[in-house]
Amino acid sequence: MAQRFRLSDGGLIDRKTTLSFTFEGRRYRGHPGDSLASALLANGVHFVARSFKYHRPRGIFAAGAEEPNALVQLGEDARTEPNLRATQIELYDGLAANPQHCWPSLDFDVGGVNDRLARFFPAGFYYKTFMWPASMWMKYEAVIRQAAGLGKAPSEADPDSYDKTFAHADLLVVGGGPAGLAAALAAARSGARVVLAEQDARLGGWLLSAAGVEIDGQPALEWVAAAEAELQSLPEVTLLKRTQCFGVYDHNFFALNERVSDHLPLAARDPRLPRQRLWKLRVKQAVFATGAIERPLVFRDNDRPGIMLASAAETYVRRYGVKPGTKAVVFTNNDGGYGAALALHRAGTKVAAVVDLREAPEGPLTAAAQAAGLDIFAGHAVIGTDGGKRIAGCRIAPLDESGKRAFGGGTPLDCDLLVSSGGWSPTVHLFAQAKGKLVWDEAQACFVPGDPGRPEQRSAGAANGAFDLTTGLEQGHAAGLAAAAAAGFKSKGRRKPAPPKAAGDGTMGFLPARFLYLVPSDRPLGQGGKHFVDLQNDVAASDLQLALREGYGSIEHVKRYTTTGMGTDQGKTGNVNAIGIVAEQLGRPLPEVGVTTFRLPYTPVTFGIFAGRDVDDLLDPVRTTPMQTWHKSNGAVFEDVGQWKRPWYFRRPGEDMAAAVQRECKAVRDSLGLLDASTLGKIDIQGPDAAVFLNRVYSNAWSKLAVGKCRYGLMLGEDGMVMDDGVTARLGEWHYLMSTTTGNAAAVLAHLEEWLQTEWPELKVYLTSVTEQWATLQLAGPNACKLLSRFTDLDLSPEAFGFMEVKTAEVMGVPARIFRISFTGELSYEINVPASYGQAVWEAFMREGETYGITPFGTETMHVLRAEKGFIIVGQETDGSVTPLDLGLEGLCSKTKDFIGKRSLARPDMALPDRKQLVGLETEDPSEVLPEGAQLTESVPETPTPASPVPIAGHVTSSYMSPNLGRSLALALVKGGREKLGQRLYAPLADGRTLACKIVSPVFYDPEGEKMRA
Amino acid sequence: MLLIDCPYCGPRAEVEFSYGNEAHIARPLQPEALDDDDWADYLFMKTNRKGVMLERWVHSHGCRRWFNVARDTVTYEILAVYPMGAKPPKLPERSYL
Amino acid sequence: MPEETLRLSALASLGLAAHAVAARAPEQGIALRELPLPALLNLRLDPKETAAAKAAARTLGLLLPDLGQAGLAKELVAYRLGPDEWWIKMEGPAAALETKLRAALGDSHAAVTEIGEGWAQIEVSGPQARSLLAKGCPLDFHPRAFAIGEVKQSLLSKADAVYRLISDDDDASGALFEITIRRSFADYAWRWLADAAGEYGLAVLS
Repeated sequence: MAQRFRLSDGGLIDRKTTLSFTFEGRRYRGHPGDSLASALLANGVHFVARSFKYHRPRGIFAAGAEEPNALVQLGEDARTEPNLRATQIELYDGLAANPQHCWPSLDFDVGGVNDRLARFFPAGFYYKTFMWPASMWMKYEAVIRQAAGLGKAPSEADPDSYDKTFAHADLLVVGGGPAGLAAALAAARSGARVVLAEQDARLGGWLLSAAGVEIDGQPALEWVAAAEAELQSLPEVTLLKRTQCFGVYDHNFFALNERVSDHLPLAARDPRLPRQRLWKLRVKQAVFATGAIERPLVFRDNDRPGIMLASAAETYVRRYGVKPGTKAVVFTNNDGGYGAALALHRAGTKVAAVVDLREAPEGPLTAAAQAAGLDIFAGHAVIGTDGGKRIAGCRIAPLDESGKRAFGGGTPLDCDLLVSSGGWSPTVHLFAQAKGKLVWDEAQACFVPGDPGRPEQRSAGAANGAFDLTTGLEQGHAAGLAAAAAAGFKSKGRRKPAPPKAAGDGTMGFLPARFLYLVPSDRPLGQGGKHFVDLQNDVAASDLQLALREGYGSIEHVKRYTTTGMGTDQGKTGNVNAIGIVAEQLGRPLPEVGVTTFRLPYTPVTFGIFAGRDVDDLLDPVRTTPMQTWHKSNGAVFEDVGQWKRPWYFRRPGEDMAAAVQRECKAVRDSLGLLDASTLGKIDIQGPDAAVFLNRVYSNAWSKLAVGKCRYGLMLGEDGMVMDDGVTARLGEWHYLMSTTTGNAAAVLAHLEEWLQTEWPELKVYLTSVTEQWATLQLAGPNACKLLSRFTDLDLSPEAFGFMEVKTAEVMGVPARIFRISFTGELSYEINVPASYGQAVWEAFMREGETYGITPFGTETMHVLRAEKGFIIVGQETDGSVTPLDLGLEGLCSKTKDFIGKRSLARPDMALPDRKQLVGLETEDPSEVLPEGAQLTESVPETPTPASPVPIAGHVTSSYMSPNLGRSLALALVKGGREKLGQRLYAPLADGRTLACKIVSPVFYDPEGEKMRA
Repeated sequence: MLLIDCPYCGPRAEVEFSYGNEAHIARPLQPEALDDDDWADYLFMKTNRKGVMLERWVHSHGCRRWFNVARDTVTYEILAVYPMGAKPPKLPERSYL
Repeated sequence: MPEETLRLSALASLGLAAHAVAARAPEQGIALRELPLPALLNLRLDPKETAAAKAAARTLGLLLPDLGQAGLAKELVAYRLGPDEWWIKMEGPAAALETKLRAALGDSHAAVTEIGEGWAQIEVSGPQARSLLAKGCPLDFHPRAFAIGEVKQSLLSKADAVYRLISDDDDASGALFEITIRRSFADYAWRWLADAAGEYGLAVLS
């Protein structure tokens, strides 16, 4: 299909190459350099979207990030992405885009009926209508969301890769327009590290669509090219094009989104490169040269396809070589709007009229338009438009002096394009995110940066309210120099460097102007049409007035009630008009009404860049022990314990988990098992005050532990709750080794360091983590001693090496620490060897242990065996609300010394008889295993629906089938449980059954501990 | 993301640190001498000041040392960093309504 | 002494030797290399306790380096990790030096702990080494901010890491960093680095 609206020359597009793309399945052509929006316009397509609430036909309205209407769904299947602005999508061959907010098609949209029912959809409609009954909201919401159609997310996994990187610089310049380039050049020449971020694929900003502008005696774009070349040549400059700075965070931290590959056809994308990259940039200084966004005029039915910003029309003509219409009406309140009239006129669009709110139009562009013979209607306004899927005409009428009333029903004018200019708003989003204060510039009718709040942040150019090019360049240059100097870089040479100089038409800003936030019509507001303020959120001037009538006085409340300025748009084109209309209605000066909070991101950002490469296998670190390779090749099924992978059980062919665990449990009790206990935390404690320190951090006493002995320790938080437990050994006079639970290793070390450094700095103690220095092999079972004796010369007789003792020895010639401690209740040794030898020693144990049927076992078997002994696991029997008293461990709480948590244990609540206490449970049917977490009741709750709340007696914390006992067993926390031994409890299950069980002692096996002491 | 000037390692990104709440709350020397209310006050009550707050941070992914920070909880500006055990420096009063 | 062949490195399961080469090709921006198992001592003492500091310095044969610095002596490197913490890295087993240090320190308040088995070291080099590390670490690796001989502790993505810049050439060989990672995180760290190096081209060195 021919590009009927493509101009034969001009613009920054490559007419020699033709690109093919589809929109809503129809095939079109465009050129490199086009945006999706410009290519659609070149093909005469204006109608590209349905609006969010009323499903009104909408067209391309802007030419940049501020586009509120032309949101499209780009790509297909797993790569589809919603809510992208057609104005920012670079055209590539094969691009496929679709409209959103419509069903079944753009042309025939069922939701369009909302428009005819518009008077039933006023501001706050959803709040008013769907609030009752509250329980129905979820149902309403689903229907509303469907109708609202916020695009669709892909249902498949994202096939693309994303990158994120930290970065540092002396200066960030946001915006590669004239002011930004001047700032970057000035700073970079001083040697400072500069990052220049430009959202567009090209540098130049508005110069890309300007005509007849010169800088430093060169045509503007030649100056831009020279500036780019110079910046590229400087080693400390990072030039980021296609990069949106979307958020400002504390202490000069900025988030930028670089679109690395999005502009290329899929087949041309380098598979090694990410699709997009997140820059997490910390700088010393920042310059916001983010330009300005034109404001539309708010007139009746100002939203039809074919209505756009004047500057957008100028951009389509000059940058993209596209004629956005054949017959145009230009509606302006300022001199700058005439630039569009002139551009359209020169492109061959018939300019039917320039409708100017000003009674006496003047200014350089106005004069040029007058000289070109354009028809100018001074003191006139557009009071309404006609047309369906494209504007067909408008009516214009003279205004009274106040600007609040139009005379007569208006004169009709035919047109297929209507462009409007209501002035300019500096893009202050980043400045405001950075807590800068905005001030109202009365002469230019816009909010401009005031006190920056943070001295390291500067604004320059149009972003700073400097709309004429000369001032903009000067400000950029000065900001760049000042920022570099503040970062420690003075410009070289004695002569002060001079800012670039500008010349030409259209460099003088947009004034003079006559500002009017609401253009009157021949009928009362809200009747016979809508004055849209926020096109993306479908908010009209009548909605704002309704909100005020209903009593919402604050602009923040008006924003929430009407949704104006919300969503992805963040009020880019609409905010100042909305504030102006509210101010007028309230009869207050505009700056008193104030602005709403500017939220980040400035433009929407895909989730992928926040994930980066931290997905799939790299989602989180997987920590493995020195014996991991052996485990993997010997049937281990792994359990996640914190970030560690621990063997849960070792499966033999044909076994399920229950069978494997039963086999492992029997093997340990009957002969010999081998457990990888390397993950337990180990903290090396050295210093003359080590024992004093242990006395304070453990609830039990440590003063009398002899060298070579081990002791079980209980650690509490200052709130008296059990925090961790483990065995600590005394290795030397001033030297201890503490063990912690696997999951708490880092937390316990941090806890100890905190007390040592912040509360007891006088204690002479040093702590060093040695968790990973050692591989820990636990031999457990009646034959443990026999096997170990084959590997070491150490005397292992009970007389020489008793229970709860530690020895250093060589095992297979490897220096080792051997602890005779037991968590299984069997004779057991924990052999610590340097990590790199772990697997070799493990393999040797397995080889030699065959005589005893040595069985590797996992954490599940360990849990069963310790539960048989009634040993707790912190985090399983405890949950941060369990005290030593609750666990029956009051014997481990010293009466004679202070320790962390002691005072809290003295609170009366801690001694209440109905606190949950640790007990054992036996089900009446020994083959039934209670589910862990099951709630317990004292009587069988009535069926089918028991009266709520059911009184709860306690809950199951651990539960297993024990092959050694030939029945199931469980540990539970039961209210006043220790006084209730023998009492019956019930566990109502999710499947409808109720299991009866009996409270018993938590020690099921070898209560005297003869086995482990053997 | 804050930039915190570790007294030992210099300015580092917030992700390297952990927050340790209010500074200068000393553990009572004789906890058993306190009544329950006073003990609860020590254990749980923080001033949660709007304005300059003296707080503790630890460089957990760096030198693992604790230190004090004077931070404005409104602007997040860090006014001073000083070692454990040191007295807070003189700081301008800032009041926020 | 036990046989060296019984030892397994933290990255043994990755089978790196199978695709290792002797040198990085010019078009590859990154080279990764697993360094031999380190022998490391952790030394804790308060430098204000001058007797202890002097005894340690004499035994090691160097001045204890300042914060953020590494000090080189004959056959050993001392890394300063905190106000009262150093690592001593050496060739060969650490036990002998541990004994010597303990003897020299006598009754002063100091701690000496062997920790090398708990860490793994990876060498990252090449013209893109700085860009690669910046992806996972908030430190500023620019030559103005990270000089040869400096040592900094931080993160590599979600793992703790100690960075040391060993050399830095303006020519094509680029910077050479040594990264020390906890043993159990080493496999994760290597896979993370290899993945992040994808866009620059990666060589695994033997």
